[in-house]
Amino acid sequence: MWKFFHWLFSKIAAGQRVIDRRFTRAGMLVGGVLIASATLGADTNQTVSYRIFAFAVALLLVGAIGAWLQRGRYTVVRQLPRAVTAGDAFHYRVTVGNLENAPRDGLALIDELADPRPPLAEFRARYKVPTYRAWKQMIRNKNACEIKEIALPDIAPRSVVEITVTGHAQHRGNQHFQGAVVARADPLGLVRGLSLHGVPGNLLVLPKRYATPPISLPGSRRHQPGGVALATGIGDSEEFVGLRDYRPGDPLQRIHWKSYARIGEPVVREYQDEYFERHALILDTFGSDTRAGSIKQAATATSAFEEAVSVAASLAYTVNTQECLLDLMFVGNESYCYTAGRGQLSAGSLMEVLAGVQLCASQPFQTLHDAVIARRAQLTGSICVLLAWDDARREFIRDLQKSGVPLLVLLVTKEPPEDRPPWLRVIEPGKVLEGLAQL
Amino acid sequence: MNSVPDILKIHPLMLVAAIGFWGWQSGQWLAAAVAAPLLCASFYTSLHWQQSTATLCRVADFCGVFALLLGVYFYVVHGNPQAIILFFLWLPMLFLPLALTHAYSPAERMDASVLFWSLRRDPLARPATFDPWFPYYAVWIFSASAANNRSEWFDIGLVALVGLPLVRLRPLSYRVGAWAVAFSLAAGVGAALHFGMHKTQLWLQEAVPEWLSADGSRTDPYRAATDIGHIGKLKDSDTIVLRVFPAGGTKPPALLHRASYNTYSGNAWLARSAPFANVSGAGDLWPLDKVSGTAASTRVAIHDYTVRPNPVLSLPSGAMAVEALKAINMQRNALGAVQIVREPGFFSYTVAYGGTYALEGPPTADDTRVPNKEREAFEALAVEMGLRQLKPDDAALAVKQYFALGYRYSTYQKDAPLVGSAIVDFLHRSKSGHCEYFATATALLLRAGGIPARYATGFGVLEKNDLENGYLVRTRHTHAWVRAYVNGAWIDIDTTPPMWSEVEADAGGGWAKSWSKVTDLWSWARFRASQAWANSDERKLLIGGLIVVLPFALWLAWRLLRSRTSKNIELKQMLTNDGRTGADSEFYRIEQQLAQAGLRRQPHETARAWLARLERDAHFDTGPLQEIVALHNRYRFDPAGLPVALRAQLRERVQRWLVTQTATQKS
Repeated sequence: MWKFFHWLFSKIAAGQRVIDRRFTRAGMLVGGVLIASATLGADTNQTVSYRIFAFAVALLLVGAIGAWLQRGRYTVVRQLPRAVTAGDAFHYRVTVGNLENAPRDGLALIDELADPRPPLAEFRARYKVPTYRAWKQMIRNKNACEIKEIALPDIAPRSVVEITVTGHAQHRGNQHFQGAVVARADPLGLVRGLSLHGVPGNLLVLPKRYATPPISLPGSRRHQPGGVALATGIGDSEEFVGLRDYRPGDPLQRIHWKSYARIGEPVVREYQDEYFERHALILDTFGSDTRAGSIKQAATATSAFEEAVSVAASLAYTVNTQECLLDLMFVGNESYCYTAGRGQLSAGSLMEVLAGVQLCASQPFQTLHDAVIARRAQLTGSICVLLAWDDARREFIRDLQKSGVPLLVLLVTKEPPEDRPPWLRVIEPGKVLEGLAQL
Repeated sequence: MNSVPDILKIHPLMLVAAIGFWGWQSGQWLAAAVAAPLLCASFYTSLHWQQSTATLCRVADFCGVFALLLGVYFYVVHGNPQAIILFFLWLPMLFLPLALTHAYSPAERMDASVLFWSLRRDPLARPATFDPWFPYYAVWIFSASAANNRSEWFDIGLVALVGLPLVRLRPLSYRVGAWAVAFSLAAGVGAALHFGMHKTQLWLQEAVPEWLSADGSRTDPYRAATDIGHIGKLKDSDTIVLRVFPAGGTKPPALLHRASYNTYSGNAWLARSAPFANVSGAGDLWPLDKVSGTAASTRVAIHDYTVRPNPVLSLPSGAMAVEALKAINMQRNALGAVQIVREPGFFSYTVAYGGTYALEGPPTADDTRVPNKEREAFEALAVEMGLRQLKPDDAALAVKQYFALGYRYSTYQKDAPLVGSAIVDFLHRSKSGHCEYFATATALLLRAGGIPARYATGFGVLEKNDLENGYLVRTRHTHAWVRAYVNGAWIDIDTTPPMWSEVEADAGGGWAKSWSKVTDLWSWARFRASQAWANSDERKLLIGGLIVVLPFALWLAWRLLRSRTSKNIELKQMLTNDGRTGADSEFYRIEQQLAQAGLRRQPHETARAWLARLERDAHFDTGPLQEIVALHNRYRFDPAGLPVALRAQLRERVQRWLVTQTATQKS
């Protein structure tokens, strides 16, 4: 059954794409009339709708031939921005050139995004019942951007025009552009001839961010053995403070040879251990099973997760990483930790990481628990963005509290738990701005 | 959906032309004369009412419900396909309230959710809108085709009405000449195509057996194509064709006759030299036998599901009069077929029968003729049986007995006839066939034996319906038999083995039988509804209809009035001479006062940015102004405007601030 419905929905989506690309609005109207007249005109004795049917068929047929003959040759160059933010409109420039010796008008530019149709396994894993509504929801969620086709200005023979295309970033993620199509209507204005251009591109859609008040992160400075570099990597790299005379026992590696040569006495480099704040931003990626409920419940779960990512992005962007380190921790196929600040990643890089975070279905919550607890000695404070308030999460927070790590716990959910402790801040999806303003 | 803006706007005269075309084709000039000026005027008048999408949704829902009710009415009264045709004919008028509501609102485009329920339940990220005028224009033209006006003027009007917007829509780099060539080509191809389509249908009607093309319930009194010679399995449907109710619990007639034929040619029976003559009726009574009285006869009520306007009546043998029949005209021929002309829809009648009177005229030469192809075989058999030596009634009995032995009923023919004639093959080799084989073979054998005989078609009344205490006649009960002229009277001779009805009934599987029960229930519901409708008073129905429609009309009028008196007056108040909404906001008085104090707002600054600057640079206390700015911004930029109470609040707060500020300055 799944196979059949997947095949059917894929064909419907493909048909819809063909109709959208091949027909003008007038052509679509003629197509609609064609279908209606085929129904009413099936018996040619009862009505004369069959004459409308025949005329509509002939119009579309002549239109299709005309469109094919008049499709033309063009060049397309697209200049995409590197990244945009979800929820915002964005603009990019496209240059279209006319290679024909005649002027061209009535042109439209269609940007071809990656095929959003999900494979069977993904569709099956996401929903309980294969409905068209679920399919549409999935297609909508697969496209990170929405770019409508744009009418091109008239192009003189062998010349180019540059236009600005406006798109809307709908969701975070990576949006692949397959190519671009220049469409031109036939003389009847019904069917469009398509000129396909392989101009691939990628656009990163960063998570939506909300205005967040300045946050005083919990916790105090703590010794980071090995300094900044070692705080995120390996190797002996303490903070350099100056030069001093050699004392017996100093390692030879620390002798500053240039100074030794200049003054004739051994001089060594002196290092000082680093003390600075290091916070963890822990993102819960263990959403409820989207297959367990209805399409609406699945949509609610997805929306809560997206809002949680947005909350994490807003916080990551707000924290001043000039003076501290921020570890972004979450679990995907394995547990990940990305550090920003003081020579490490920038906040923008964390946004790029967050753009690709997905719900984790393959691992238990304990994976995140273990990963965070293993680092607790280095942390001066933690911000936890949770999706639920169940036993596993309660235990996780309890363990963090026991280890003395100051916490700010945010719960992104539509249904606040009745037994929530006073320090647990609940943020309702759709009212994130209000929730963050109260921090 | 592509988003190239609609460059082309409909011209009101184009809309008038489409409505006029519909009125012309359908003959509904009055409706067209009402709709056209009402719609057209909206393009020229400034009288418009602001309508929300929710209001349009409600009007669309009303139109939808009304269309549904009308569709049900058409279906119950007229049946398909007439109901579908009438529905499409009136489609643009059904959606006229929605079109008018949109026409008299200032919005040019309509939200797609007005027409598509799915978008209301699962809205898009950004609302999709469309210009409804061209689709509505197309609906008027399309609906005109349901009127079935078959003259060439329809094609001319169609081409003109389609060409008009298309010539304006073409990309301008195409010359008009190129467009004209393409459009003429399309018109020519379209004309050739529709001519070919119609011819093909006519050919198919001739070529395909009648029972396949018209489910057996349709009878042509001039010609009966048979399935003699058809290879494979025949299967008729379980569709109910007639409901039969014998009066006073009597037994129903075994056969209901529709038409007889006297000439066998090819594999079809024809009615030759049998012209129809009018039957004069009085009111609902149509006497067939003017000599005998009908008082002592048996009566049977028949409810016919045939939706054709000129059906052939199903009558028992010895029918003397048809009663309670609403018909425009009745005709009968010498072969016993009675055809009427009536209004479309289901119909009922009562037949008085049982006398010795026969509808058929005396036998003619056609009733004794055996075709050349079959003559030798049948005459040889007649000689072998000695039919000519027997008395007519004995000969008829002998023929009946002959087919009762060695012949079997079957709806399946394995292979093509070995000899030239399928009926001769049945007689000598296969000895297996359905009722058409038996009836044809019997008629030809009787003729070869010197007895005039005709091929009769109609239905067997076999299935008792306990639910209604009547009988059901289905398509699969369609039957053929022989009417033979024996001892000066036409008698029915049915040589088909009696088990034919069981074979037909068993032909469907378990699933088909279960489905048949569902369709029976539906058929019964339609029958009861049509009966109730037919027996109800038209005035009461009209009042009932008004009770449904009037509250909505009043509600709509109230909504329009309300939106006119509140929203629009409010809008008018908000619009000042420079056309901007909220330009009369009292906040500008504060701006003026502060400007005089040297705290001028810069042209690029929003009100809030200005206040922030004042607070930061001039240490001006902007606290009391924050709420005023919030109200002002809403008044200026909220598409829904500012409620009256908040508008008054804005005025009052500004006044209070100005008074306080003046007092502070003085002190």
